[in-house]
Amino acid sequence: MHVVSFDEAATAHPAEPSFEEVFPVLIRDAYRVAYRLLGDRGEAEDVAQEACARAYSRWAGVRDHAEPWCVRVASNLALDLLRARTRAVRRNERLRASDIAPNPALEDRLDLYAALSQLPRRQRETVVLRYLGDLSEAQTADLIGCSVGSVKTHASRGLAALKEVLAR
Amino acid sequence: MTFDEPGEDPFGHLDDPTPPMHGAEALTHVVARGHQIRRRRRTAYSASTALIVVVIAGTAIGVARGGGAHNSQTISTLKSGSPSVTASGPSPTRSRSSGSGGLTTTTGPTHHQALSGSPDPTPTCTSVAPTPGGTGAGVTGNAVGRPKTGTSLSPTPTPTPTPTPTATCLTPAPTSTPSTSASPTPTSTPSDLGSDPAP
Repeated sequence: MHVVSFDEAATAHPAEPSFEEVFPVLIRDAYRVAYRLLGDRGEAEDVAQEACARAYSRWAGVRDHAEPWCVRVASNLALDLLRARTRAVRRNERLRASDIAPNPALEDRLDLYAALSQLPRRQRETVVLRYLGDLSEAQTADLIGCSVGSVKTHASRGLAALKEVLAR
Repeated sequence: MTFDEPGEDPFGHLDDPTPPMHGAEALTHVVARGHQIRRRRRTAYSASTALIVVVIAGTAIGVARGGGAHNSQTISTLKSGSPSVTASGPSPTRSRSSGSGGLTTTTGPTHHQALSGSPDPTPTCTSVAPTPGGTGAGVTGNAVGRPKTGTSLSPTPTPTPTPTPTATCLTPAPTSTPSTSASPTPTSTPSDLGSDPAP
């Protein structure tokens, strides 16, 4: 892989990985959570690269927890795009119903976003990071700033609420 | 979307079946974008810092100018020689004047004088021309309330001037010289005039 020199890599501690070393892992995780939320490959790649670029721009601060940080940024960017997309769908609802063929993947994402929007903030963050971002309970707890037990509680309650909302 | 399988990933069906491989090109693009983000952040930080410094400096200059104006006003009032603080009467009232009077404490009839800058009744002799006639004092200016013994604006060529004209005025005394046409001793001072009459 082509190695690009930058300041943080030069001043980084030898024991800590450089950005180039962890970049494949970062962009893979970011892409996964973005694609799960967006369902579009191009948008997911854009979101993943933007999340990695933001991690690079402040690498000295996020080096210790780069992977969950990148997953969180990617999920936030993807949720922002979903929010904008939902607005656009509502705006063009009549046109979409008549002219555009229904897209099951898009319907799934919009339903998922609608269900996530109804969850409390803590449960939504936990579900997104834990299940959509595939982070461990410890990583999720560290990123959110609560205990592992709280992560388990929020995750189970969030999943139950999602199931209930999506079953309607 | 089902959550029936507790052991499996509940959102696994949303995954991309063929995820792309991100190589060196993606890394280059990400690094370039990261540099751009960092540059924008530093620019924004510098601009906000400069703005804060300008605001603080402007505030300090404004405060300094306000205090400097107040001080200069006080000093000019003191230099003018006219008393700006006059306390008389039973109930003094404080008023701030915008002119040369400064902060004055006046009562009654002196209030308007202090505010308008008109001459107060204190004896300020601005210009005194000693008249050699000895018949009166040639008083010009705004000496109000002074008892006048007589005014003589046209000097009379009397050879014996009397020292009465400038006896009440103290400030311009050393430099006042009588007019040459009236006094036979041009360099005589009022005291000289009183003690040594001309021949």
